[in-house]
Amino acid sequence: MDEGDREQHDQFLRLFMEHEEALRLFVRSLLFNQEESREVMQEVAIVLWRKFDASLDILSFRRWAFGVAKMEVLSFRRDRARDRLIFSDDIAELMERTVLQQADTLEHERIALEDCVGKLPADQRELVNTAYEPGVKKNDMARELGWTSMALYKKLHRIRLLLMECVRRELALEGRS
Amino acid sequence: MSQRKTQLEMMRRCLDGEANDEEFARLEELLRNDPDFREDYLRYLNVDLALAALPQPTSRRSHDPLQHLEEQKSAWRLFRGIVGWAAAIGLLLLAGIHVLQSIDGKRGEIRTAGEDTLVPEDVNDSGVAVLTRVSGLQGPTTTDWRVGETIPPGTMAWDEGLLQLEFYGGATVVVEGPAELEIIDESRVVCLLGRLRAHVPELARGFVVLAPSFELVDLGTEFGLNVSDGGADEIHVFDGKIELFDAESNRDLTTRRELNAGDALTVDRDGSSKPIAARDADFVTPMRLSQISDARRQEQLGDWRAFRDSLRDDPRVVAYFPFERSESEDRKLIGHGANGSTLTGAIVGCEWSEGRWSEKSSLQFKRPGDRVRINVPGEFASLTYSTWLRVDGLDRQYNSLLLTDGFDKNSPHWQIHQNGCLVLGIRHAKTRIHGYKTDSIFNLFRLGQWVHLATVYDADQACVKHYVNGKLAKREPLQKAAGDMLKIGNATIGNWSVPTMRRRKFSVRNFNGCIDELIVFGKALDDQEVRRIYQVGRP
Repeated sequence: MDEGDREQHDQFLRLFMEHEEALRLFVRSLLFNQEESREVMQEVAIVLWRKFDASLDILSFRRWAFGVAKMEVLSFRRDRARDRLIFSDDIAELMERTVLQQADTLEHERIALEDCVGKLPADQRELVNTAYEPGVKKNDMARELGWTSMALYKKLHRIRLLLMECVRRELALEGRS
Repeated sequence: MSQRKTQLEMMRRCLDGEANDEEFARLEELLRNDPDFREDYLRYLNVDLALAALPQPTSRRSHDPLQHLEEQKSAWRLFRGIVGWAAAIGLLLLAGIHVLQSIDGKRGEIRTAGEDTLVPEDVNDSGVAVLTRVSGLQGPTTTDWRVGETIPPGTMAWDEGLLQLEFYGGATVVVEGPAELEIIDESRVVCLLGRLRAHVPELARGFVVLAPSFELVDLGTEFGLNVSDGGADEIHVFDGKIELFDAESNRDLTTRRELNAGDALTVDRDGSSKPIAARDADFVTPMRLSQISDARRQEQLGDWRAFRDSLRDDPRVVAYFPFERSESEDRKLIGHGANGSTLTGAIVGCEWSEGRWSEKSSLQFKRPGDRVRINVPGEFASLTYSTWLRVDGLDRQYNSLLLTDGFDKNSPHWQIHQNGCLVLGIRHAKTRIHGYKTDSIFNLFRLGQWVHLATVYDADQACVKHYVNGKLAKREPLQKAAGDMLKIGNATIGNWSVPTMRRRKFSVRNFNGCIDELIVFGKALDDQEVRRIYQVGRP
């Protein structure tokens, strides 16, 4: 890869990684299904790389990247989404705005999360680690545990709520005032 | 609280695909009308995403979910964001991106390839000359040029000023602008415009300069040439001898002329020439450039010293550290605060080094422990930060310039993000954190250069402004949650003391480089004032 190409993709990686988590959250907020949103994110990444213009500054790149993400979500929903439930267009605007506004706080929360997972009781931690392992199907997992799928979903939900509380506490503690 | 729990349960049902149309419509309505609900929704999803991105232990098998786990390896943290789309990107960015190529979809097989850099370093020198001195350079591309850097083949153009190039072949060339040079290799250069003086020692014989109307081959000498804008070109030989050929004649011997010491010629674009008197003094020698450089430097140092002294009487200053080494107490950073009070910083680890000028000192920050502890008392509606520094590397996710202890409400963090952005991070409320940032300003070229940075938190104009070398780089309106008085108190230059909790990597923020001035004003400075600080202090 020559000097110019190297610069170009360094620049791309820098910009992309800066916004990757916010974009992912945005896509996920519009597509309930985790698998589907992962697929859309891959498409988004490909389009962003293919059409990358190295002269863009951070703000323009961000605007463009969210635009591409919105477009990919829309075309995915049109062509592929198994979910018959679809958000109206104004929701996408609102989600984009809120994701960007809360970006820094949400990043701090993500960082705090790892400590919070460490604070979970061992069995809950195991449950969460297993459930979030790639390739694990929650229905299979429930069966192996001898639970109904509903029970597993609810249990994971309760753990997520615990983590949300923990993360909020950690963040508040940081501002010791 | 119960209503919130119900709402969260409804969120879950939608995300898990259990919701009916009514519930979905209800969710949509809440998202549309209730900003708190929208935030909660995102925070819930945020937890879900963050869980999916956590590093997993290597030897995990999903058959028995309750199997005892190994310790999680946090070394993958850098890459966890990449995992999901690694396969797609891996296909795209094929050549040369060895690191990404070694990631495949499964987290269990990610190999770390260095914590802080994504792309392996290139150890390759494509340079053919070294830029060894500059003086008074002006031009659109000159800000990227650094003394000491190697110059690869290519064009260099500037509007004003002098520079000195030492070619690998051995020739030393001083060029005065306005000029345009095309460097071909270590012993050949094209001069399209400018006044050039070359010293070519014996071993560099054969150094060639191509001009619009001739080709000059040096035979071991000292000569000067002046290529003007469309007019006649001049050649002066000060020592030894040179050969001249017509341009593009492929060194046709019929066009060959020999010039000796004391000879000088003007050559028109049509090839006609006539002898003139040689003018040694018009062509700047390396020694003269060195003198000019030195004189200029002394002048600038004088200007800066006057500025430094004037700050003593500036009522807006709440902390000023000129970073001048004290012989008697060199582990103390001497400065002054409001009302002429003395402020002393405690230096930990940092070593004294050279600053913007060789006559000025700076503190070098290298190791994780290096830092200066200071205390800036007072509360302020607005603040201005100003520093002269040299960034040698952006090793950490955040690289501290001046960070308050912990991260209390309204106690700002002034730092540089790993991607090169200057950031002022403020916690406006317990859970309302915002980083006011610029675009990336530290690219490969700016590293290793002395740069002036300034950030203004302006309560009256309700904005944060960042400046790089005196120029406004970004202006961002204050968040709605902003509005309280800011305080600094106990803080650290070049590091972060009392980091919040145990964030490990996120907590290590030691700066890598040198700082040779830091000013904190308890008021918002305007564009002109910031530019003045830059102009009076530029090296």
